[in-house]
Amino acid sequence: MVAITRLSLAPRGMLDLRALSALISSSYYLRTLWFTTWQALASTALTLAAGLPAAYVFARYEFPAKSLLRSLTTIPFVLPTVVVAAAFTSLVGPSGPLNLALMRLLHFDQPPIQLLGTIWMILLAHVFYNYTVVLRIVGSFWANLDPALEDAAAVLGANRARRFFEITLPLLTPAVAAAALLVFIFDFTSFGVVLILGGSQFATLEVEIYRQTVNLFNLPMASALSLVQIICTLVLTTIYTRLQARTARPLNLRPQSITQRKPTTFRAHVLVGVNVVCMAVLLLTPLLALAVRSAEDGIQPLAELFVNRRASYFYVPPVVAIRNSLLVASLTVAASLALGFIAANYLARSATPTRGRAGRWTAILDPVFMLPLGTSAVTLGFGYIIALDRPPLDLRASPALLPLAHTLVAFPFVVRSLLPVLRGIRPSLRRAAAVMGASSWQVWREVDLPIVGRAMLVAAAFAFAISMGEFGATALVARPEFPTMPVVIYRFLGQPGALNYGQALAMSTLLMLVCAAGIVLIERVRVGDVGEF
Amino acid sequence: MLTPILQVSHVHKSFDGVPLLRDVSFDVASSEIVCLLGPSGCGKTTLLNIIAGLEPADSGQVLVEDQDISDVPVHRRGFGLMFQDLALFPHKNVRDNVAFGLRMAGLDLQAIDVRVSEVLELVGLAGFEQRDVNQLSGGEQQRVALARSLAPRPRLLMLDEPLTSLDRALRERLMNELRNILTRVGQTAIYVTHDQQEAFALADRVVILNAGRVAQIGTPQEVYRNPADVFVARFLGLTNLVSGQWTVDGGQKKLRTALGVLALPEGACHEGEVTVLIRPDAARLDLTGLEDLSGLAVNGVLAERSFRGRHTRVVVRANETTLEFEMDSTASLPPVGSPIRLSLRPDAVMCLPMR
Repeated sequence: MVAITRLSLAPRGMLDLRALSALISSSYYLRTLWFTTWQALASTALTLAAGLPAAYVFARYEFPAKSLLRSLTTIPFVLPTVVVAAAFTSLVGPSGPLNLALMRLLHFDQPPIQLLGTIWMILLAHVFYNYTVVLRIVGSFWANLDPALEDAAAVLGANRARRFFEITLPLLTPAVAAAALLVFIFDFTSFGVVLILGGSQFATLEVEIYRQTVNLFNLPMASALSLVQIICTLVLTTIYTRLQARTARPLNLRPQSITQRKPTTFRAHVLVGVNVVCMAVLLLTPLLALAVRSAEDGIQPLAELFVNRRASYFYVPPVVAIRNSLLVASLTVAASLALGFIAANYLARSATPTRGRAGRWTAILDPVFMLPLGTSAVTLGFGYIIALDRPPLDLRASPALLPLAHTLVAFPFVVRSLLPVLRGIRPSLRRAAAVMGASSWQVWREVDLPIVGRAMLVAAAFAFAISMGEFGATALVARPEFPTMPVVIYRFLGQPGALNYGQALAMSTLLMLVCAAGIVLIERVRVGDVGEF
Repeated sequence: MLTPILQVSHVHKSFDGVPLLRDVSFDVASSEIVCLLGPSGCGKTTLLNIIAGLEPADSGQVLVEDQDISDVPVHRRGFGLMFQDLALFPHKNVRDNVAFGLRMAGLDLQAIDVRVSEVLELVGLAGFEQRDVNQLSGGEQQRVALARSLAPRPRLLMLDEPLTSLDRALRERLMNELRNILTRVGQTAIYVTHDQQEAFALADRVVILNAGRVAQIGTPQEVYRNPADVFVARFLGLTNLVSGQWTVDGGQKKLRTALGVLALPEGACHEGEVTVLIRPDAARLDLTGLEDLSGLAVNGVLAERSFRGRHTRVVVRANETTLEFEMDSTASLPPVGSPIRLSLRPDAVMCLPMR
């Protein structure tokens, strides 16, 4: 990231603000920035609108298959944008089942739903993507909110609406803000969705960075754009931390066994039912459509994956990408866990307010550790390209660049997964162990590690899924002869012909299955709702 | 008795098939403080929630001035409820917490401010309006919660173990204050607690619950003097319980117990198996042996003694039975381990039905 700043400000070793001023004076780039911002705002608002009722239902009611449903809602979040794009294309595309059915039913000549290439498609995909963020962050917070507060308001004469707006919503603010921030940042730095689903007329900053780098090779402009993006997200994150500090209230958080009950009234049943159906329609139909479409095409596209037909274009049979992806993912898991554990440990131990200086460092480092999340993958990949381009660290041609880039993307998730658990270890436990004669290494092995163990697994699964699905940085960094699964899908989608499309779907389904396996694993080992990012 | 404001009649409630409240009936008169007293898990809080309208009853009725209010939603009942964990709104200051119910009732701003300072004064927190509720001490938070529930002048105020989280000294002080405040404004109240000291200090009448059933209703004196059964006696801290049986011996009926034959007057107990309750203040040291004639005496070994100021706590072991007494500290007790003979005041010994 330092490299990005340097290149954007001083491409030839001296201060040169031409790229930056070109950016600011060009109405095209300003329009891009404006589009990036408003589509992110709209997406965030829609995601909140869709996610909050679901968060309520998940927070306050017990119903069958709840945890399964929660696992399923997570799958879109870790799916590569390419797969999401493919899923939506297969569902609402001109020859998708929805349009075909409507055409047959109503005798239209043309497909009635033409979402592809419209802003609605982008918004819908963003909601699909980030729904689970709202559901999880707000839902888990809401689940621990003491229902007695609402009861108290009710006894004092407040009706349902006033209870929500005067009591519940203000108390939920920190969680809603956290979720909104994350969703906004994801949407702001959206790449694959906009590139593939939006078509050529839409461009976010992220897409523009990619175009400038790969198509036009205008590195100073790409750097300048990256810088703008980093500044935007940094400003947002800072505002958020301030806000968080102000809205945080000491809450009497209650275990979920107390706050949740089975739906008993008619109203509660309707509420739960409607939400579950909405969730299924919004989240599962695209995934199902993807699987069904790829199955309809029969075995041929799948079989084709094993053949290196267009040797000149792919260099390797597409199926090799699975091996590549798994290899990169394993390396990413190892590296990000090691780095993340050290970082989280540092943050957790120095976070006590009594240690003034260390506490201040934590306040600075905490948002910095979150930066990769806000910086977006293309920027990261780009940063790697320009930072590691000369000896002794010329890694541009090395396949090691890929796991490194993925590690950086996965890093914030690892830290977020580990931190709450590490912070939750009472110091008295460590002291007790020390008093009984354990050396500091033994304390770590006997106390910290067993307690953090499960969170480590969660973090590992997150890192795995992120690496498997990562496309933005990979698109920039990956060598042509070393494609990962998302890269292969993107290449297939970029080629004309039914077979290519079928192969893209087949590959997407495979990727979805691998990711789903990872997520189910996460849910299996999950400790309560502690490991929220 | 005065006309009841609230009548709870034949309320049943079960959770997952496990009955929690069984045929609970009692009533509360205007300006009366009724304590619901029982061990934790006996259904007290559930009963409060049913009265408040936070939970529905399976069957039975809650009547206010002879009107069934089962269909009236919580926020229209006009009751007050002080929660066990207080449930102060953490995002509102003291004034806004207290004003909440008044705003819901649609009072204008001026009237609200007047009433807020009035109740804050009443609970001894005058001038606390702008304070952050999260920064208050436990006792102050307690008072804010009380002020909040008193402010809209509820027809009925319910208090759910409001003092349990406090330390003992503070609890005793607030207990007395609470009674003063409630009686001063003539507040009708239901007070839930598992602490019999609290119940006795506060209540006009006590409703003792045992596993979801009403075990006894009466004034504190009545239930303490005449516990209805073994459960009530034990729960009120009366632990000297000895089972016995009436037998005919030489044409004379005698009560045979683990302590030997106790010469209780014949009418004092029903036939068959009984449980004898000996109050802790019943015993006097019998040095002479002359009082043997009354037959109400215990021969045992002094197992423990501890000085408590005005009285001395004495544990006596007699025939495998352990009895605890509070004896006058002026009595010259033998050393621990020596035989001891105690005579019992007849009016402090009574029979309880087995169940």
